[in-house]
Amino acid sequence: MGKQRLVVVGNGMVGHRFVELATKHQDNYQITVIGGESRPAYDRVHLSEFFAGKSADDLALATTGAYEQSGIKALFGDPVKDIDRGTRTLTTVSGETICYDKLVLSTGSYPFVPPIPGNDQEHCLTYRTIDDLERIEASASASGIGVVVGGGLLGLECANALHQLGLNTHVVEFAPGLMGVQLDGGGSKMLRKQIEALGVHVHTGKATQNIVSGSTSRLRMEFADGDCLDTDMIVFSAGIRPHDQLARDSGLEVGERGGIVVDDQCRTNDTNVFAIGECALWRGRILGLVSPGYKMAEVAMEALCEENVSFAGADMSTKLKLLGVQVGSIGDAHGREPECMRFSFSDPKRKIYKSVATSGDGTRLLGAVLVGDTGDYDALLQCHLNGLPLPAAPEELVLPSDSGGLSFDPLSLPPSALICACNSVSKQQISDAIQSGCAELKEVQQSTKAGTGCGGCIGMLEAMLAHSEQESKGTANESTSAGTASLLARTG
Amino acid sequence: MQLIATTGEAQQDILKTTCPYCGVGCGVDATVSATRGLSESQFESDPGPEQKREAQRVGVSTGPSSLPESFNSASTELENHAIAGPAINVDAQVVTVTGTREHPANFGRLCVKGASLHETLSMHDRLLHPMIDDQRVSWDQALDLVATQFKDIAEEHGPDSVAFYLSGQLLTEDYYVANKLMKGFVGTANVDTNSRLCMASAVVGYKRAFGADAVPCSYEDLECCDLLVVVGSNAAWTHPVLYQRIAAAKTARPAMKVVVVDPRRTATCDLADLHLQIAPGSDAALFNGLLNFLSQAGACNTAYIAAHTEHFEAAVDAAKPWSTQRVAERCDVPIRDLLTFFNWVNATEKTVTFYSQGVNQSSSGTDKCNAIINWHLATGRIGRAGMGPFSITGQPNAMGGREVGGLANQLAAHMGFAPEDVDRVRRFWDAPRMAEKPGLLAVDLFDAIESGDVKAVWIMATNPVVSLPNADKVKRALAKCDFVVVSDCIEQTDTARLADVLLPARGWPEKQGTVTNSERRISLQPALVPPAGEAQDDWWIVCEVAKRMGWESSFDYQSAHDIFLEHARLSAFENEDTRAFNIAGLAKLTEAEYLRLNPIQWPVKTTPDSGGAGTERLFADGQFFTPSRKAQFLPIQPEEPQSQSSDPYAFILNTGRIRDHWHTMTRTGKAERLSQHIDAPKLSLNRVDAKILDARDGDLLEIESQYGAVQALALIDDTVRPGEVFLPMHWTGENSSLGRMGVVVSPERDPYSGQPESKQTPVALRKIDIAVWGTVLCNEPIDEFPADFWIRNTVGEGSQAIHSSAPDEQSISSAGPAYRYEFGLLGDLDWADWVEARWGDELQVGQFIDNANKRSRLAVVEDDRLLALITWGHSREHLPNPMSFSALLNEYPVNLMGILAAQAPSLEDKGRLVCSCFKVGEKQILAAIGEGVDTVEGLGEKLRCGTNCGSCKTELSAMLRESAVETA
Repeated sequence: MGKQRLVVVGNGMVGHRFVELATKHQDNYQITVIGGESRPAYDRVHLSEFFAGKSADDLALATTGAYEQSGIKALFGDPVKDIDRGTRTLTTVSGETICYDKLVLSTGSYPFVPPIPGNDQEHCLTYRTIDDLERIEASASASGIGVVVGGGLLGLECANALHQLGLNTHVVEFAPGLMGVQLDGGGSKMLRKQIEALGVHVHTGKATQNIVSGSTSRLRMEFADGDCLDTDMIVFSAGIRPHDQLARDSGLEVGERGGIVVDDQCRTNDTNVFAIGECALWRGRILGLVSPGYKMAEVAMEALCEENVSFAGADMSTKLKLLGVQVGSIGDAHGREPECMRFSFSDPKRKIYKSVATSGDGTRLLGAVLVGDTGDYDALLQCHLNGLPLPAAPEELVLPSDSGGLSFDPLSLPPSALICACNSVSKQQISDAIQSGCAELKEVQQSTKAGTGCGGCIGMLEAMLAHSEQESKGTANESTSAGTASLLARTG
Repeated sequence: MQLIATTGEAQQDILKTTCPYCGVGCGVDATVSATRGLSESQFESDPGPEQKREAQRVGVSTGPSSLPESFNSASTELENHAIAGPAINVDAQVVTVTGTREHPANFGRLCVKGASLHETLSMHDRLLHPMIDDQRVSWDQALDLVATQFKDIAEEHGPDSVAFYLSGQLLTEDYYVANKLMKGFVGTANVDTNSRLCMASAVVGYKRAFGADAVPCSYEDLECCDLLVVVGSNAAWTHPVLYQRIAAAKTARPAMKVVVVDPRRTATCDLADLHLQIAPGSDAALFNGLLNFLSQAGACNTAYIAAHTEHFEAAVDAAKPWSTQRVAERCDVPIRDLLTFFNWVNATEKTVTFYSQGVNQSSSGTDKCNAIINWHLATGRIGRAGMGPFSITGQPNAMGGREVGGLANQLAAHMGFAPEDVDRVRRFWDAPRMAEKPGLLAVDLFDAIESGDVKAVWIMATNPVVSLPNADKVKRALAKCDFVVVSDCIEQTDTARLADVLLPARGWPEKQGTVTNSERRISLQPALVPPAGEAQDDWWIVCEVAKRMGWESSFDYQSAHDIFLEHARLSAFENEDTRAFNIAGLAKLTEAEYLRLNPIQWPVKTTPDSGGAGTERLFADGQFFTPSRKAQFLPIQPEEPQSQSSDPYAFILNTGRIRDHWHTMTRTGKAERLSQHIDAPKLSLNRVDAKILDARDGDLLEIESQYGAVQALALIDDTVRPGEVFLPMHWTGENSSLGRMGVVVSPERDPYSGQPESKQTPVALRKIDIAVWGTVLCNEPIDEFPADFWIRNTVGEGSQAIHSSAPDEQSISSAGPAYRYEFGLLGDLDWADWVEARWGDELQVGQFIDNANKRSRLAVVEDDRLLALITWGHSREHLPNPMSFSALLNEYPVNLMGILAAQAPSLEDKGRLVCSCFKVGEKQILAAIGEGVDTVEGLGEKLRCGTNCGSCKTELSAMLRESAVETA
């Protein structure tokens, strides 16, 4: 049997990830990747660093050259216009036709712009692509005040960008708090306080009704409660909508509110067509983080190899720095589990908020929120991912302590423990990589992909590398076999 | 300013005084610790003239005092030094109290309220300075304003446009000058008192029968009688020391019988050989029936009746229709029990009737009193040992108020408004403008305030917005009154909040003067410690206003002693044995004698030196104070209570006191242990009614009458009859959401005494479904507590207040207590938001949420101290005992581990406090009973419960009985 034609539409982070995985299967597949943007995949997670001086090249994850070197056909800047599932043919805007045997849709999402009259004026922008960033930069250079509509993760990244561009920055959020998806009420409050301390103005519970010409500034936003806000530019970052038009036009099943419906193998209702990442609707949900997208990429690849692997959702835990504020969110951050217990501690003087959700018996960690200090993130995430037992008094996890942050020894984790949640890399895989000669962090990252997503596990990778080095020198201590009971401890 | 640097050693003295609570008037030995110290006072650097003047006045006006010598000398030094430079401060505190062994009221006993007095003296809630419109002002400013307003309003609208509303908490001397000012100088008799609510009917009853408001008996009669009939009194809780004396007498002489007449099966019934659980308000029928029975049985003392009484036949005729059968029906008691009672009375010469609010607080209270007096007269059982109709007063100095005539329907010193009385008093006082007719009685007075007829009122030492019936109307009246003056010890009361002028009064044990107890015994209450802040004696405040109104010479008293002598002289003035109240024998006491006055029962016609030992019993000679010198029978037509239950007001609400609280709790509310017996307004209701209402113990109920609505927690309690409920009177708008009992009480009143019918208001009951129950422990009081239902209690051992002679030190030297709020919410509340709104967002906040059990806990921490701890949940069973956290309020640095732990810190759960003296809880007692202890004495030996004041012994025996029934 000859090679099948595998075509990947979309070259965002997830599409790129899939291509990387597929590269290993070139014996079976001839791979083509088509990116709508003019440039190949780049790191959207760290997009705001563009304004901190990183270039588009710095953010790039792939290059056309690298793809071609790997034997992959890559087309950029000519988006697919049409899918004919009957003939299994794609047509691009420029009229090129491409045939496929298997098609993977990784078309991602686009920023949601609320249907507010006046939202289409000049200086009303979105925040999604490097092209968007360039437009923002241009608008900002002629503005004094900037508003970001949307107080979620991306919105705050964007606010950071405007702030760094020297604008008097405002965040306008419809919901009562910032980052409502990742943070509980207390965490959200603490984040707001700290963002405000930086000089960024936060307006929550605000529904924008109109965007009109301003008197003192270019634009004026009018809110449902009668307030208004003058600004020179507005960037919408109020959530995403799946890019599903292609699928919709081709008759693939899509959800009521958008998203290409997929099963647990990421397959659409056409067995030859898969959808992964933010365009896919899995069990009625769009998973708007990179980590589940990567997981979907893996599942889809396995399915193509006729392995029976199911996508079972992905950990939505995340750790990041927003406007200089460390924020971490793990698992069931809001403690929505009906039988759970929650412990929280807010310490405004130290600018720290922590909360944890545990099982009803207090033995397992279901979720956590960290604001201001994410030093405990790794430890808590490991507890959450690996079901490690908690201290007898779980409130210890959030209360301030004289004896420093939580610490745990990654070496004491079982081999099956998940170290990198973004890329699903186990401790065993990392140990193997180190055994097989990876002596530097970069080498481990290249070899296993661990630590290349949110970067939250890099500390653990470093610890494992250091241990291996000591071991080779014969100085490793004997604590590596310590039981899980002492896994969490305050370090002195 | 710095805290006092002590230079001297603390000196302890045991000083004698009397208890400021009920009408028993127990002697109290107070151990006072006084320290002299040098301090850098507020006057150290060049005081302004205003400060100098104030310092002088505060110092000088104190007058002579009975303080320990060290205190007095220091006090003098203070006056000198206050102006010159460094001041000598005197700090004194009442360290402990015990009953005075030789005081004839109590012979060493104290009830738990009295025994906790030293725990109620903290400064945190005291009114320390005069205030006008909530702004601190000088005494001059405040007094000038009061004098000007009263003078101007009285001149413009006539003297009856102004009024005083006084209190049984005032001392006799205070009462005397207030009465004198209004009735002799302003020219109005609008001087009424909260005693109107407690014994006005008894006064009229005595006056109608004896021609004088004179209690015939002595406490000793309660011990030496052979039959004691307790009517409408839960003495075990309201007059515990008398109850203990009775209990001891009965133990010593088991043949002595006690009959309790009360619609409730109260703690007092523990002592009863017979309890007549009569229908509410049917007392007069019972006693008419008794008179009829005695008369039919030929048991009347015809010789006595002939020699010393009048109108016997009319009374007997009126009683005649009251056959035993009819009485049994009206009173709803078994005939058998009635006959037992009647036969016991018939057979027992030495019989005392001990009666109180259950008789007095009625729309026909006066007639009930006379129905009681009638059969005592008919049997001649009066004026002899172990006999007589004995009205017991509720307040420490209701009797003193009666003696000076501080009631709107009396003039002064047992004189009324007959022209010759008015003239006599005019001459004695050299009064420019005498009141010549009675003034407005309490309820009418506040009606007149509401209608605008009375435009200025001065309220002293009482809280009518809580205690008067139809209390919301009182609140409205004061809110619209042109000028409201309130003198009080406490800064924030429901009434004080409506004042234009607040005047800081001295409280026990700062003030000095005399009080009279229920057996006519006059005792001195000396000043033991320096006053709080700028607080002054009530008599001083009244006199200063009187002087500013232009009557300088008539009110130029230098001390309470001065006033007492004038009061004593007036009692004797042209008396000629026409007036029962006569203390001529005390009219020449020197100041030293006054300060050493041995408790003495009036009349005292000759000086103690020349044998005037007081009078144990009145009317021993069969001579009364009516024109004919004969006692008067009154024909009694028993009346139903004014308001009858009818749909939707299907229940009859009874009100009264509970064991460990007093009035509106401004004092008892400050001692933690006094709030642990009953810590919330609880409505006693019968099991049958609870079932109908679908109410369980602790459910929230709304109690609504045609006048308003209050809330209380259900206490399913078969001490009340079906269809009847009982609500304590103590909760206020300050310590509860809607516990202000007066709001629902009917303002119907007795036509002769004006006393309201506080015991029989028809009400409707409704269960309120609470979604969230919880508690807040907090180091500060919370204004506008955010819950639909809440109750506030004090936490922390009673604070040992240090009374300092440097007024501004006081707020520093006495830390405030903590508070515990129990609350109920109809829906959810975001407590984290509330905390932020109240305290800002700079405090540490720790929270624990248990989804499974629907409960949460939130701790607010400031500088390593616990500021507040909030616990709440959907079911009270899952909430930890808030008291298990109370110690954390004092912990530094606070350990939050325990607070947020899923498992609350363990605390021995003693259960509800039964013995407040030794803090013994219900669960401890039940455990001991379970281990085989089967007597009250046994429990006392094991746990000490009941071995001090004895107030809880009735409850102990009830618990023993119940457990015996259960195990049987």
